Amino acid sequence: MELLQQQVMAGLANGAIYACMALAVVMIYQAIDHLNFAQGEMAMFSTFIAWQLMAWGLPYWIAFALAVVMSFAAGVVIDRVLFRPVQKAPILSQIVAFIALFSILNSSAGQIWDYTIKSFPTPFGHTPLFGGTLIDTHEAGMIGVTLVMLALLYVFFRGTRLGLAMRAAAANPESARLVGIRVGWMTALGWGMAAAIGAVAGMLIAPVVFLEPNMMLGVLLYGFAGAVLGGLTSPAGAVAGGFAVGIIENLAGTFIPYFGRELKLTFALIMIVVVLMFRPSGLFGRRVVSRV
Amino acid sequence: MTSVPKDGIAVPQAEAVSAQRPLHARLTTRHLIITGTTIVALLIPLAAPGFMIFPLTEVMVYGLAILGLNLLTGFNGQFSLGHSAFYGIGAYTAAIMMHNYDISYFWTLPAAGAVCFAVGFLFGLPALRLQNLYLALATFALATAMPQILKFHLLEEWTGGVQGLPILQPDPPPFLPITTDQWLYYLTLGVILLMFAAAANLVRSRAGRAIMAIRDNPIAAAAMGINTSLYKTITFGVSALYTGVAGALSALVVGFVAPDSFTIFLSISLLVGLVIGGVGSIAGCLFGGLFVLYLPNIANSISTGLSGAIYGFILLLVIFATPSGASGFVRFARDGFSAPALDRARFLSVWFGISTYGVITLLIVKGAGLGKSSPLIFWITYTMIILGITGWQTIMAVKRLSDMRRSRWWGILLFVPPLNMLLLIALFCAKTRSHDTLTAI
Repeated sequence: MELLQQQVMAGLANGAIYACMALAVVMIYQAIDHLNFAQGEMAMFSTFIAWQLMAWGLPYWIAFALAVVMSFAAGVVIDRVLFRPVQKAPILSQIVAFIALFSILNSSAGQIWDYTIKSFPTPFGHTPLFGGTLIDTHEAGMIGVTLVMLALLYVFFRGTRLGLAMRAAAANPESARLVGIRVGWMTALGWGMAAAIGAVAGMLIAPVVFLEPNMMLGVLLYGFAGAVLGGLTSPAGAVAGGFAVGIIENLAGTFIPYFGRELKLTFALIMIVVVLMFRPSGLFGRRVVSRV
Repeated sequence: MTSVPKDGIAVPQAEAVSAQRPLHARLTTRHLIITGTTIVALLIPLAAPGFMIFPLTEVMVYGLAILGLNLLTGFNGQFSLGHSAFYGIGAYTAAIMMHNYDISYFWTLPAAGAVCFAVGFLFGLPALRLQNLYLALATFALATAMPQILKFHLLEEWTGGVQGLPILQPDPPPFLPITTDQWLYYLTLGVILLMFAAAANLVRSRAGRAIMAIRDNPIAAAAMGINTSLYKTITFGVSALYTGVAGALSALVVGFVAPDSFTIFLSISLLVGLVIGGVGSIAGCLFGGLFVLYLPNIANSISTGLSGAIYGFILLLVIFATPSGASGFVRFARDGFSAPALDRARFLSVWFGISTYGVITLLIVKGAGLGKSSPLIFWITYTMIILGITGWQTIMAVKRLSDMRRSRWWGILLFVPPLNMLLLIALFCAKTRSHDTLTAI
């Protein structure tokens, strides 16, 4: 029982990383209706910018805020420059455009900041929480920040006119345009917010996985898995999904004899697929009913 | 071939009638192109230097794998990120048969196909319940799991674990005076001719129409009495079969299999090839293969440090120029020529597309390394490509000039570089005036 408890806590700590990323994934899904493969690399690039600002002597929180603002702007620019021209193209072509963006960001970051591993500071410190060894203050801080972001998003989408306009633009662009919502700018805003959330996620993840151009590969994959498991239409579901992926992964590694250690990723993914077979729109997602 | 109704959409008519007509009347440009390409492909290994044969064989192997993905995604509308797994299963089937059981390489191809068909069919069953991104995630799980399963310690006896397995490459038959590379090239060429022809027949058959109907509207397809579940799982199996045979061929060609050759990045490469070649086009798959194999080399030769960025940049350029891939672009350009009047947007995009593909073809020819070993053939190819690009562009411009009711002789300006730019701008800005005779149709 104690082993189980330990593994669940460790899973929660990992899950916080995935939940952060899953939140950014859901954000972009709300704006453009499919996934952005370059999301992880965008977050990585933002984190490098924050690192660079700190290397030039800025204090943590100023660098943090600047990086978030710059990421937001960069997200809007990417929407206007890159996504706009292919918006009418088939979805697969858009996905290839994202793969291209992935490749460009990854390679440029490697060229500018090289591939050596850098450490990234954390404002929460690394002391163990409650005197135990299970979870440290940084991981607790990460969980806290994720939940705060989730709450802010909830308030934004449910409580503000802009949030309502964004939801309308995503759900039904034609009708939204008819009632005077500028759908194009709502999409751009979605890109900006996704980039900003990604930046926060990147800066929280970097102290754990260390900063380097390929740091987001695994994280993004788990983030996708978490978002899809939780349901791509629900931010809270995505966060829950992210935590669930972390816990499932850890438990599979510990409790499945023989196979567990080596194949824990495989088992985690198989379990997710099995869950999806019974709930095809994710655990908390809305069922999409299409009109014939 | 196609008639142009009032709204300018070309409708193929020939296919329905062609069955009754005599053979010589049924031969179309398409047949000529296929025959010509096959003859060129047969001659290449005899004329080209030895080091070029291996990559060209790989191009064909990738083309076959992309065709497998295309049957599933392009024709049946099921998205897959898991084809690297089928490719890996095919390669490992061949390697295990040859390395552990000493079976002749010839039998590995059908065996790999059969194994992959079974695996694909079984995977197609749970995939029935999943759509779009959820299916992408499930297939993605397959792709990430595959290298780990291949490395798994209990299977090491067969798979060779992290080390992988070496394969003794097949010798050419003793009566043929050719090298192993050339023999593998011809073997691959034979296999892909057979399988491309089979795929072309499949998509034109009753089953093929059912497969495409499911893509276009699953509910309507089911209402018309198509057993959608059966067709979807079988398509999954056939798609895996194609990719599996490609994997087995790759094992023979490379002479070695290792788990880390079959990661998710292979799937992504296949997806890129699929989109660049054209979703739902059979011939486009080979173009996709060419692109997937040579583009990283080109990017690397331009700048080693920034090769990823250059790769991404070229990819973006191609997607901007031709959002529906090479085959879509060919169709688009052809419709442009047969349209009553070439409007400015279509003129610009066709022009842009021809230039982009032209530059990429030039880069591929340069990257293939022909320039060093036989400069004469290299320069002849180069000149022919450049003449081809400018030729098509001139034809476009002349058509546009005539649509604007200008003298076609203005087109000569295209060959004077500074005036070329001015003429282009003029061509783009001017308003199209359709011919009275054509608008009357």
